[in-house]
Amino acid sequence: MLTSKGIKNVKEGFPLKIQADEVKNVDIDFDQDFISKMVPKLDWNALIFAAQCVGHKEDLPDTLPEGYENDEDLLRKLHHILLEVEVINGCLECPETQRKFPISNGIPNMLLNEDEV
Amino acid sequence: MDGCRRDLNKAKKKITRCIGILQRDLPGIQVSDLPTKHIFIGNAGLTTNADESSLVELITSVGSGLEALTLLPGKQYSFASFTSIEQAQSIYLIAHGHLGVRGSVSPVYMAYVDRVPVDPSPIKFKYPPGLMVVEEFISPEEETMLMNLIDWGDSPLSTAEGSVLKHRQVRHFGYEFQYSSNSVDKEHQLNQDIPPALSHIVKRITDRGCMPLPPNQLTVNKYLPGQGIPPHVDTHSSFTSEILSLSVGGGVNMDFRYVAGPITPSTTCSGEVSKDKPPHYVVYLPPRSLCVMAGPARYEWSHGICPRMTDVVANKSGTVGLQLLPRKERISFTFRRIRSGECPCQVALICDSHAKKQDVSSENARNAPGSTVVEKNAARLEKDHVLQVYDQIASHFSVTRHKPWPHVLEFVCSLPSGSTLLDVGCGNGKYMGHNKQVFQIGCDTSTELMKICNTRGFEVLTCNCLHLPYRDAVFDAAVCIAVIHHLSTESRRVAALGEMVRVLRRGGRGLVYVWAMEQRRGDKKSTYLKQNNKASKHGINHHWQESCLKDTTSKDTSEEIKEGLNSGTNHSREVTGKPECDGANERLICGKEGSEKDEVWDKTASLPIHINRTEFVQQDMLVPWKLKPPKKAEVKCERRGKCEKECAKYHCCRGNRYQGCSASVDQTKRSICCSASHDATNNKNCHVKSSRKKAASNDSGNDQVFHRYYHVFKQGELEQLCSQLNVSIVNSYYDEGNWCVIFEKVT
Repeated sequence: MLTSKGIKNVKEGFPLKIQADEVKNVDIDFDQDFISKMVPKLDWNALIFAAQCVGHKEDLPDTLPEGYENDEDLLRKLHHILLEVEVINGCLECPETQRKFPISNGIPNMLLNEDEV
Repeated sequence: MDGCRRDLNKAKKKITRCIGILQRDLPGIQVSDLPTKHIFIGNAGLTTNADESSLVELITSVGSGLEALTLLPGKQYSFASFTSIEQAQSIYLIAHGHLGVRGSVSPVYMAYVDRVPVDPSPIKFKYPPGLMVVEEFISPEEETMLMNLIDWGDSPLSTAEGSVLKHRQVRHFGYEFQYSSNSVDKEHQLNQDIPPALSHIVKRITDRGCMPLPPNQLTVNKYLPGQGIPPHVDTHSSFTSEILSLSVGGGVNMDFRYVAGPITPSTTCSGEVSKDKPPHYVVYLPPRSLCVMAGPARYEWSHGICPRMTDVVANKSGTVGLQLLPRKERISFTFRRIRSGECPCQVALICDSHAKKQDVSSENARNAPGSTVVEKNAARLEKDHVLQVYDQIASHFSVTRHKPWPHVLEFVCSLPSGSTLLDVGCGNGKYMGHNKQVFQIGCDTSTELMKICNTRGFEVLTCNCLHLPYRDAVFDAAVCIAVIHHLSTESRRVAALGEMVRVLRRGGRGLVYVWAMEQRRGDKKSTYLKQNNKASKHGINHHWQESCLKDTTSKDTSEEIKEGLNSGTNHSREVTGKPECDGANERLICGKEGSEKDEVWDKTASLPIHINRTEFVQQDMLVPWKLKPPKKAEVKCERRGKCEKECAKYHCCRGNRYQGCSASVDQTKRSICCSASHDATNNKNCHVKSSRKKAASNDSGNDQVFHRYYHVFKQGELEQLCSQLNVSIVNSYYDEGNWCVIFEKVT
């Protein structure tokens, strides 16, 4: 979902590479209906890329399988990676300029300097 | 037979010569013996006095399918493009060597060509930003009434009330519109007011939001076919930001030309600036339509009517093609409202108010300030008076921000399950976590406020609302509550909304709230104003954002102290005679007065400091925030156990990620949570009410005062910003001292 497009001359700025120095797992109630509604809104490749970055690829399939709505196992995995895995410290890296956006205490800082916009 | 052959030979000779000129001028264009879709007209062009109108007239009189005309400046030839080869061929066969354009004695000579040159200034049937044409604004019956309203036969009582201009007849009501200067003499009101017969139309104008306040000046022009009006911009300081033109009897093409000089942000946003020539758009105003010029269309574009007998207009029925409409007698009713004071716009080059401010008399010397300088200064002002202030007041601010406004909450909760929602400028996350079926994320420029959101378990990041770090079209909905009034130029406010629109999917909805200049509706004061009396009695005041949606019994939650300063003059930046704040630690964050300030923004120096709980005297100002150190609230919080329970209830968000208010939470966070929960319980359960009140007045001497920059919105202003974007307004309303809009992204 995030992009570094705001930087001058950056075209896509997506997907941002995640460098996770500290990852935390939090527990959130699983809501199958909610997750399956979120799936069509995902860029699957970007999700897989992000999951790999934080070391939680586990056994997520490389392409979104059909009939995912009823695949509770898959949806639970998605629930975990989407909502429960939180990068506490690290950074996001623009794929085009390698500009790094720091993440500290779970908050990415996407502010740009005056000369970057 | 002989004559016919002679004609043919003549035509052949003529066109051969013309083709020679074409090939010398534009060697890239190939002449074709076989029919093509494009016809070169060798002897009718801008230098032979032919124009779009006369060419369209010729072509449409004998054929159809005309798709485009290309006329090149300084050339005697032109090009016509057709939808199909057959249509081009039928025109060629009829017109070549036989028919002439209006006003010419010789026939046109034509040849087929493989393509046409790129038109340097094609007629663009486009609307300049801020322009709206409301078709069928009046009924045919009303049109007839209006046609007969003015007795043109009678000479007006005075020349101020009407005259026969060189090109047309004119009448004035309310004030005289002086065509020599495109302005009015505000001191000189005419005896004749807007005719009462127009009162229902005037009412319709305000009812439909075409103009926020009723017009008080009317100019009626009668244009006979062939008459026009030179391009002009109605003087900025004379009239408010909407100029309305009602077309009666006949339609007309109105020409809009961008005149605000060098490229400005508002034009680069729409991407319509050509390198050397400013844009020129043609807008057809059908009979009975109301043309609303607002924003850039009113301030930065000239409008005029070319004197001609016909208008070339885009074919409405067909998908493509041009059509020629003969002009009829047209009576235009131009409604305006006299501006009180000077124009606030930033368009230096053509704004007379700006010129006055700059005290520059020579027109040539009026250079627009480089937009980058303006932008830099605006960014600096926002950094000093918005971003830094919020970071410093974050925890206290958060304490006062807990009760969601009902209509915003309604919007958030109305979103269907599985929606994605972005909160632009989410503050402490007041609108987050209410709808559990929605994936909601937030952002804000204040790092400190983001930390607070994070401890409440919300998914947030830090960014500037002018550059949202999200991909295009990823959100189903977005809210932006009390944010863009912190941006200091119109172009930045539009840009922020534009970013919000960018990240919305097509059909996605946005909700925007801004603080209103108008803190009264009719007789009704907003709660922000209502609290003036009590608050000053206690020396306690509340920030509008919070208090305006609470009932008056629960007003002791925020400790923003009424500024008793500069009651004499609002423009003074000195803090004088302020009884609550004469303590030694008084500090004005904005008070890096003197030279540094002047560099920041020439406007900053003249920004008044608003007196809280009073009506706004102007749109741009600094609003004080009195900071209470969070510790005090905590000390008063005796029933901590209860607090924590309520905190947990209150702060729970998507899932159960709430982690605040547990034993591990540090002191600061706890104090935030505790006081917030007290406030949330509406004082009934709150035992600290009286003690806190006392504390507030006792301790205020040590409090810091911060000043936040605000631009409060006038009625209609928010809609006008939206009109520059790719959205349709679903609903716009007034909610307790705020102007609000719900819009939908169109494409």
